[in-house]
Amino acid sequence: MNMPSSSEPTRADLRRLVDRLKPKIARLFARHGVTGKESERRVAAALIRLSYQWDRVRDREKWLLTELQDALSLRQEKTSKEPRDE
Amino acid sequence: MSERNSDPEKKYEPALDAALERAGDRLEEIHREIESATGLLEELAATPSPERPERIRTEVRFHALKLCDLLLKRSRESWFRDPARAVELARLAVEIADWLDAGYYGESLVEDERAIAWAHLGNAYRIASDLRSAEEAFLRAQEHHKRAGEDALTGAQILSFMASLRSSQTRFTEAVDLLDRAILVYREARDRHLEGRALIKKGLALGYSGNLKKAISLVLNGLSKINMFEEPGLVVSARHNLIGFLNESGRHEEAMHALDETRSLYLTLGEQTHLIRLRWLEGRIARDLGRLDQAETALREARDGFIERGIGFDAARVSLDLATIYLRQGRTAELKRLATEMVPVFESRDVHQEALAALLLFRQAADAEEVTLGLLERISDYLQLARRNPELRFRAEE
Repeated sequence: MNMPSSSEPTRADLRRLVDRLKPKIARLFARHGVTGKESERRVAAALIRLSYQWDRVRDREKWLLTELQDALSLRQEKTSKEPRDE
Repeated sequence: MSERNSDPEKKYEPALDAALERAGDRLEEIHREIESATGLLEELAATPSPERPERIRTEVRFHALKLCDLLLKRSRESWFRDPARAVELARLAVEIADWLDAGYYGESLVEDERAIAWAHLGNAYRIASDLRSAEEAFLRAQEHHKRAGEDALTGAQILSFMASLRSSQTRFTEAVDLLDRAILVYREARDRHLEGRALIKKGLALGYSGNLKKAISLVLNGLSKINMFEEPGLVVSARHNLIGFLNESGRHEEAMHALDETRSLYLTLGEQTHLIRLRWLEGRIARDLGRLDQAETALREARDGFIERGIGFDAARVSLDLATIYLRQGRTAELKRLATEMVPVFESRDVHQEALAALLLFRQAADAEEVTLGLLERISDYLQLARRNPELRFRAEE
């Protein structure tokens, strides 16, 4: 198998990235009351998106955190807009 | 309270591991997509143009994001060498982006790719001087960008391309505003290179609008931030414009010194058109330093180089620079001959009707022995701006 080009990450690249951000990601999810299942889905989606755009993003730590924060803010907005039974 | 609940890191650890596993599995598919993209592109290239959209529509293997990326890369590489091809490649990328499976890639990634593809098509149209199509393409890019959830870097890229369009339309103030917004995004994302590039573009927009002092300072600032190994062509073009601005500001000696310092970079890159532009710049600076013989030789060489390559606008502008020398030296007969020779040469080049009308005006003025330095400068400035804007009208009087 050929070595992956610099335009795509390796498993180790993704692992290093998540390891560095683990405390921040965990605090973010805890603050928003995200379940384990949802956090898995959100982080996997963000990592896949980042992998496709790997060469475009220079500060990947910042990008990943912002991506997760934005998604959770949007989720909160949607929840608060949903009609409630009075 | 259990230890697990009180320590969020521990609580989410299994989920993060599982997420890494899922993303890791996808890497192999991304790798396969990258590997197959070149072959797919070759297949498309070998297909006659009218049949390509149908193949893209019916053959699912072409619905690949990395193929779209590769087409955009090739389009970028063709921007200035072959603008028509750049448009064609970006169009194919737009077609492919349209067929990407949102279920597989995710809705926001697909919409983001569509936004980027449309933005590239817009920029390719702009370089090919089709400013109306460029405008429409950018509207489509913005629609997809909104649907994608407005990724900041994609947004900045659209802003930066749109700023180039506004500069081509001579709407420099708007160009600067757009670039200011892009610069903020790049600064926030800590992307020094892209911030530097946007600063240089802002400097150029200001320089073309006549604000030379600010332009020089911005281009210098931009140059200090960019990674020259990443984009050596950008360094040469930024330095080239910087030297031109220094010369136009009356800092001729400084301009010549900066040019000498940049010469090795021009030679290293070895692009023929860069070397012709270097000769042109040398000619202009030598002329402004009063070294008219040296200037004439350099300008003649540059003019011949541009004519040989069919670059009509620049050939016309160098000829006008040459005319300023003849005018200063009172060489009326040569001025008339130059003006007479110019029109038929440029009729067969990439010079549009409105620009040709400006050159005809120069010939009439030469025939009537009424050419002034002011007229030559106005025509030259007009040609510089009209190059990518065929709708721009020439005004003979200030």
